[in-house]
Amino acid sequence: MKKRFISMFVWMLFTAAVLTAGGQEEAKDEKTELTFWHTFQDAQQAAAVQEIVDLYMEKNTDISVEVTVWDGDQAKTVFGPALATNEAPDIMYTMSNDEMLGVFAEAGYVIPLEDAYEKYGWDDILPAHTKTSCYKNDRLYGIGHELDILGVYYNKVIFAECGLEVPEDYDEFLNVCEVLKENGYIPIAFANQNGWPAYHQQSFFYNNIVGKEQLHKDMFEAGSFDRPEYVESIEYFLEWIEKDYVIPDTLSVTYNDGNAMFNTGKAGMHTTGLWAFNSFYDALGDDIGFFQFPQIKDDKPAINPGGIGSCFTVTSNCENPDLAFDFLDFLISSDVAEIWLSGSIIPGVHLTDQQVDSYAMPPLFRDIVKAVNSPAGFGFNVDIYMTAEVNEVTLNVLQEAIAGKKTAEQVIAEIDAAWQISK
Amino acid sequence: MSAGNRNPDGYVFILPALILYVLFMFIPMIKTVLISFQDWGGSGTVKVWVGIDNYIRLFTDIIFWKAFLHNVIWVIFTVVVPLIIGLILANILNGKVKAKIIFRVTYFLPYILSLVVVGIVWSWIYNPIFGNLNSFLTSIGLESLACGWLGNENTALLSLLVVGSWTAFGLCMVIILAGMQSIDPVVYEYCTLEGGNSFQKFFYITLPMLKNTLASLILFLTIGSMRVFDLVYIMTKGGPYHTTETMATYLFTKAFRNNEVGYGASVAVFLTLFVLMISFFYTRYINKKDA
Repeated sequence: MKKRFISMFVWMLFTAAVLTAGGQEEAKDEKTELTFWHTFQDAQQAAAVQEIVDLYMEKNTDISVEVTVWDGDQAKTVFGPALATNEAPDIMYTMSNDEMLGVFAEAGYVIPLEDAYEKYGWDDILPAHTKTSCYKNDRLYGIGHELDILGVYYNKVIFAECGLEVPEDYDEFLNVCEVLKENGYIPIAFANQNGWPAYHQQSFFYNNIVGKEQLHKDMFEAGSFDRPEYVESIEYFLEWIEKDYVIPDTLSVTYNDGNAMFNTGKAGMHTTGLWAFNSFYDALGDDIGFFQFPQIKDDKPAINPGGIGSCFTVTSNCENPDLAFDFLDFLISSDVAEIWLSGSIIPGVHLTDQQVDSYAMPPLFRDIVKAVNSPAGFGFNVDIYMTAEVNEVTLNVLQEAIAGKKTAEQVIAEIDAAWQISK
Repeated sequence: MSAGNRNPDGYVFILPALILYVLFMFIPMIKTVLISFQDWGGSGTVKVWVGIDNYIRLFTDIIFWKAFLHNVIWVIFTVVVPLIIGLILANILNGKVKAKIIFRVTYFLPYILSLVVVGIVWSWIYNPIFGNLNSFLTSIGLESLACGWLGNENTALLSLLVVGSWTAFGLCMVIILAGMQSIDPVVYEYCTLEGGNSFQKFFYITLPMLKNTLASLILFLTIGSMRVFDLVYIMTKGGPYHTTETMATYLFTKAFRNNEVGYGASVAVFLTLFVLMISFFYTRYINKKDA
């Protein structure tokens, strides 16, 4: 009997320990709490976000904003389950592609924002292109932010050493590559072990050979990639590989290592996006330059891929959507644009040249911000608008093409086949 | 204690562990099986019942069978190689070696390192630009052998297999050594008296007496090899273009990157059943041989 009593007591103790393992609930704060998850993991970027959040809390002393920073790759596997289990925050900064925002919207985990846009007048301050990728099934679920542009970063010192100038067209660009190669430099710091950097090269050529208008039709109006121009685009890209203009054994080198090659002066150019600006500027300072991808076809003006990759969303978890909208209104306002820019993040809000000139920032970054805000605009960053299935096929066939296992025709055929199934 | 007089207190003590096992293992396993018959994106509440469609797709999926083949190669390589190295090292350390403990600890270290750390460090070693391997080959005049080890389809899988074996040989050595030290030395003395040499002792005494130890090790390594994920994901993510894909990395990509959780679940179910089948037939074979 005594033994049984002890056994029962031990078991009850254990069960109690398991059930209360979460710890005691903290005393409720009097402030209204708002939770915010984002993926600005770069130290400078995270600091800029925190500065904006702190400013908001200073102005609204009855509100407390709890911020959590996630790694971009982590977000892909964490955000979905968090939403599904009601553990998601009030506001989430997420990729606006089908893999994330598309899935969340379809599941009803994020709320439509058309009413908020109207109430806060966001259409008056945000350009139309910031909304393009935030529409899912004709409803608007996100506020596009973090304008990005893909272009060509170059090392001014290496260019000067090799007697090179910024190329004005594609033939001159190829000549620059040849000269850099002859002088022992890697012309373009393209490294593709991760697979996704090839998406951006694909976007450069699609936009400049196929053209923005046709690309728009094929992506948004149920078109097809089965056109000679797409094949030609891939052939142009593969020419870089054939002529050894990229990092040797590019499929064995990670994107970060490729950046390191550029940052340490081993490569003359790098064709990538603005997210890498901080790393380049920290390493090279004012020795780094930027130019837009040069014109390839006479009848197609030069255009750089760009746009919104991510957006702010309000989750269906949010108990106080009006408060969330108020916070978002502050986040995207031009009042805090300078703080975003200090973190090398171009906010979605339209900025005039005068505004940009009035903010403190590195001269190169200022030029890029102006380019992004110019009326010429930018083309499409194709992978943002493709489904996960198409992106997976694209990643693998481009690697095979780089390895010489597939031709440009085969690449386009496979990508188009995947697009026809999943669009 | 007779069968009719069992103390029920024992059940009370195993109940908490059993509850945890049911909550975190058994129920998720059942749910995974159910999901494998559904089409689900992973985030929504809507799950469409598709019956065996995911399994039909599985059996016609070339990339899946490629991944399966890679797992089989992984099993063969990372069982045989560590076992042979472990046997040799254990045999040496079982003899008169000074500072034995230092060798045992050193050889066992790779096994206790986190596979993520192992993957990152070996990625640096294999790096074509600044990696030690290419630098070493160049320094000894074998520059022609230097290449992009993890990005070349001819070398990527082998490069990973070397790392996989490297992590396992220490464990084999320790376990085999323990088995060797449990063999009665009198048996070896009789062999010596009968005129037996070292090779004969090893093949006719040591190996047969290590049979059960080796059998357990082979099963343990085989199961681990079928489930390999960390190393592959960290070092190549299954690339370039699926040339190092394994079933675990494939199901991860399908379920968590492509939002095809139902299909990923079917891969997981196949993997589990395959491992169970191997374990079942292998254990039966060993027990038959014993009998």
